[in-house]
Order: sequence, then structure tokens, then C-alpha cells
Amino acid sequence: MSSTSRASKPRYTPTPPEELLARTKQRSAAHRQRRLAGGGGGFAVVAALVLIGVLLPSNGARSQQASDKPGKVVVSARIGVAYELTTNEPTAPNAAHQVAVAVDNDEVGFSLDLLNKLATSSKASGSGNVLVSPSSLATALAMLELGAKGATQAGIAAALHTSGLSAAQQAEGWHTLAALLAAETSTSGAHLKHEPELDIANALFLQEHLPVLPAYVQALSKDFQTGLWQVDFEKDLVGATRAINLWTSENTKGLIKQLFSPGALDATTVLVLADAVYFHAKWSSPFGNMTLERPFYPTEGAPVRVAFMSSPSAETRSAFHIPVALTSRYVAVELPYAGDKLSALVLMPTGTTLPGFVASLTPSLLAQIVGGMFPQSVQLSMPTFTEQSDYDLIQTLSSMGMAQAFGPGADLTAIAPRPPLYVHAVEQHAYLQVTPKGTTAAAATGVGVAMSATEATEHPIVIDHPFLFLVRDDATGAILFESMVENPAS
Amino acid sequence: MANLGGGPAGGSLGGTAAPTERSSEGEDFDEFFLRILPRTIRAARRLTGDPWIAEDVAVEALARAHARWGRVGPLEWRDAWVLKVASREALHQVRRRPPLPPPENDRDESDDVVLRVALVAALVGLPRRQRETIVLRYLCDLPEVDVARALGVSPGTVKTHIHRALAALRASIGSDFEEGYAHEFHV
Repeated sequence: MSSTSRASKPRYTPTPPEELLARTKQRSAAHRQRRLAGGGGGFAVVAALVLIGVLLPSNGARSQQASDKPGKVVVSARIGVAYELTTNEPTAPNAAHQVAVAVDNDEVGFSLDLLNKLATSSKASGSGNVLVSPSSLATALAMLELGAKGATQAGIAAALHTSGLSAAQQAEGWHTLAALLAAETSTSGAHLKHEPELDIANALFLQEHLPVLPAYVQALSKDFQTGLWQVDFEKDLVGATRAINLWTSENTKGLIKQLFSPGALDATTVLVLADAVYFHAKWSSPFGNMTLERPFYPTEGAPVRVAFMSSPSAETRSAFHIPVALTSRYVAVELPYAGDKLSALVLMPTGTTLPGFVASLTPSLLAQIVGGMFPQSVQLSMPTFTEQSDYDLIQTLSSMGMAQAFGPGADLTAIAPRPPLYVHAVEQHAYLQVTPKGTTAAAATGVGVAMSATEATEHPIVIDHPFLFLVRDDATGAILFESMVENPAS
Repeated sequence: MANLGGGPAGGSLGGTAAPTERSSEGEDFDEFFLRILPRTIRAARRLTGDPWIAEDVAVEALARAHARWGRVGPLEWRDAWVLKVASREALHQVRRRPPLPPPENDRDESDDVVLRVALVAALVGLPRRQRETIVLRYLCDLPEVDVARALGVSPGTVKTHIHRALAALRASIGSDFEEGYAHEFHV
């Protein structure tokens, strides 16, 4: 039976490529003739835009007529009542090396300053733990900064620690940083190769009929690859909020379900800038599967019993051989993720409290700590933990220098010349889970802009005291997530 | 506005074909053809299951690229452009002809054909954008960023389409999807 079947089926022999090339060119000639004879049109696109009643930038209605010109605007996706508009704007070239390095350093300075400020407010509120994604917040603020002028722009730059760079250099630098991170982790089949997944998405949700300046939208697209979504906060606040939350959930794989707390947005909201990050990576060398309860010593209060994960014994072949630094002031351990491009840096101060240590941290001290680590065979024990955080960041950012953006004096005229705009909500929601196998984390940052109402080693290392947990990109030093763990049980 | 770019410099757009023009990376059409041909045939064969049709589909897609080489050549994502055209053409071919009866001699091969036919049928039932996203991402093995550029959407939208499409494929193919294709879709 099998021989009959094979006989009836001709055997496939691949055609030589040269022959296929000749056939291709013959067929191409026919295609060219047909194209020269016929027309082509963007009618369907025009009709779609008219049907949903979107307001295009002043040059948009023209641009879709010529279907292949840069700047063509099409509706590319829909989430509930929100429509995504897309153009084929070219992405910005990567920044010069010095600018990229300067922005990387600034991001670290911003990350540490932010951590310090949040640690202070967290201590005041009594919880002690902090979890934030500085890179997500920095991206959202950098997108806002593109639309700010004068003192408002200077305030945002001061908060971001980028005052030494021009607005264009900053935009290029952030673009390059994001591109470097994406290039290192967004490889095809990352799941199969057990490489880290790092997905970053940006979006601008825009009130219909807001006379937004095309240059602002183009700059967001070019520098941040920001998706533009058209919504109607004024007439359908619930639908717009639902669409924003759905976008957030889909870009954080369901870990962050809402971008703003109830009531944070209202009918005066005219745009929302959003950044979402999802990270999942396995340890390069996994901890043992078994966890063991043992005491952890918070800065204040009695010891708590929490689950600890432990590396294989230092005598075994699978023992951890990782960068370590043991000094009189701190214990530092670097845990690489599979793929060796990203790592977690665990810092446990030994001579001072964690908030005191965080207050003394600077980018140069951090670089010194990392530079002083050497690979050693160690047995490491540290808690498994899951953190979740929800921050309203207006107070924190005001104290970092950008108060002007939050008041009637804000100058966001590079977004839209009128009506007067100001920032009325900045929130970040984050999630971090550290297990014996690896790390899963997500964060989403939202910036809400509204119309002004008035014109206005050999030794076992046990991380059993409060510690810092930083997820870093090894090449750039960029801090993706940072967590202060005062009490893993809380 | 959204997205995404990497578009070609505006001045190079829109002209009639100039088949001997070199791409932005100095690659002329013949070099590009020889490089992308095996991948294009492979992608088309995964969709049609027929090597002869796959060759014809690849020729058609590359002929369209050749006819527009002045515009396609400078694209950073010209590979994705050709694979997108080829996958559309392959699905078009699948829809035009009756499904081949599975071979009776080889149980494993038969199972593969049945699964492929089920997958293609389920793919055809997806909305166009979801279908193209799935084909380019998983059957052509393009990274998300290239899929986004080829389709002119943001990477976030690609993720959205993938999420919804995989859910629809699971619902449509059921347990066979998990057994036969889950590894291919990294789920």
C-alpha cells in the first residue's frame, strides 16, 4: 500500500534558485505593467477615518491620500472605545555614544533619588517596603517632557536628573536606551531559549478633537514608538478608562489590571501617557526547589519567620559561582539571569539601616560596589518574596523638582497650544515575584493631563536583614525594577 | 502617532521599480532574492503543505518585491515585507483549492497533515490582522518588532493580536492545538 501511494505522488525536487529568479523577474515585468496601467487608492482608509470621526493632525487628511508617503495615518487596532492610529514615521536614529551614556547615568541617578524619596514616605506610612520601576516612570516623564516648555520642562528635567542635556539629546538618549534594552531581550523564540523576556510598550490616549500639535505626536512616535489611541474622556470616561486598563493588562500579561485608581481621571482629562513593562527571567543557576522557614530581622520589631530559598552547597558541582562583595558596610551579591544580559543585584547593609544606606547611595557608589565584586563560590540563602505597590507619585515628583507641572502655571503648550493643560495624575502600579526559579515583574506608569479648570563566598551568605533588590541591565546599568525589602512577610 | 517605524526616507518612496537599485544596506535584488528565497519557500510550505505551490507563492511574493524594488529595497524590514506578502498569497492558495486527502500510508504524516489543515482552517477564520500577526511571528519566526514594522502597528498591538489570536486558535482547535502546535507557539 505504501509503495502505491508513493508511486502516485511525484517526487519533489527543488527548482534551482537561478530558475526561480528568472521566473520572478518575468512575473515582475507583468506586475509593473499592471501597476502603471491601474490606479490605487487610500479610499478605504479615508472612509474608515471619517466613519469613526477621528480628528487628524492638520496634515493627516492629506497624507493618507498618497498611500505610501511617510506620515500616512491608518486605524490599526481597537480596544473597546479606543482606536489606535498608526503612521509610518521613521524611528529616530540611535543617539551618539556620549549622549546615550549620559542618559544611562542620569537614569541611575533618578532611580536612586526616587528610591530615597519613596523610602522616606514609606517609612512615614509605616510599611517600610518599596517597589518601583524607575525606567517605566522615567519613560513616561520623558514623553511628558517633550510636550513641556520653560520652567515646566526644566522641572521635569531636574526630576529626571537630565538637566545637563538638551531636550533633543534627552529624547535621543531615552530612545537609545529603550532600543538597547529591547535589542538585548526581544529575540525571536526567547521563551524556547530560556532568555529573559522584557516587553516595553508606550501609549498616548488622546481626547478626540484636542488640537494636539502634530510635531508632539510625531516626536513621541519617533523617539518612543508610542502608540496613539483616540478616546473620549469627556463623553465616555468609563469606556476610556476601561480601554486604558485593558491596554495596561494586555501589556503586563495581566499582572497590572488598572493604570489609575478610581476617580484619578475625570471629564477634564484630555490625555494620558502610559508606559508598561513586563519582565520574566529564569536565574542562570536556579536555587534549590525546597524552601525553608527561618527568621528574618526587620529594622524595627520582632523577627519574622519567612520562606528562604538556598543555593546548592558550595562543595557541589552546581554551587553558585557569582560576583560577591563582603565589606564592613554591606553584603553585595549579583544573581545573573539566564542569557547573561540582565541580573539582580542584592544589597544588604550591615553597618547601618536600609533607609540610611539608601540615603547614602549615589550612582558612583553603586558603580563602585558593582566594580568591587568578584566571582566566588558561595552558598546563598535569601527569602522568596512577592511585592506589589500602588503609588500616587505627585508629591514625590514635586519634591524632586517638577512641582510646576502639577499646577495652573504648567506650560505644556508643546503638546497643544490651548486649552491650558496641567498634570493631574501620576500613578505607578508594580508587581515583583522572586522565586527559586527566577523573577517575574511588571509595572505600569500613567501620567494624566487635564485642562485647567481656571486658566492656570566561603562563608554562607544569608540575606536575613532588610535588603535592596535591583533588576539591572548589565550593559547599560539601567535599573528596571528596584525594591527595598524591609519585611518580606508584610 | 503611533508608531513605528523605521519607515524609509520619504524621498525614496513611490518611484517606479528600479530593479537594479541597491538596498540601504547595499544589497541588490539578486542578493536579496537568494538570501530570502529558502525562508519564503519554507514559510509558504508550512501553510500550504505543498512544495510546488510553496515555490510558486515565493516567486509571486518576490516578483512583487522586484516590481517595487525602489520602494521595498530600502526598507529595513524588507524580509518581513516579502514574508507578509508570501503568507497572504499562501493562505489565498489554500482557500482556492480543495484540501488534499491525508496520505493513508503513514500514520504520523497523516496526523501532521490533519493538524496542519485544522490550523490553516483556524487561521483563515481569524480576523486579518490577527492572522497576519500569528503567521509572521510564529510561522515565519520574525521578532515582534519586525512584525510590528511589517504591519505598521506598535509592538503593543502585535502583542494584543497574538494574545487574542492564540486564545481563538485554542478555542477552535482544542486539545489538538495543545498537542500539535503549542510548542510551535511557545505556549
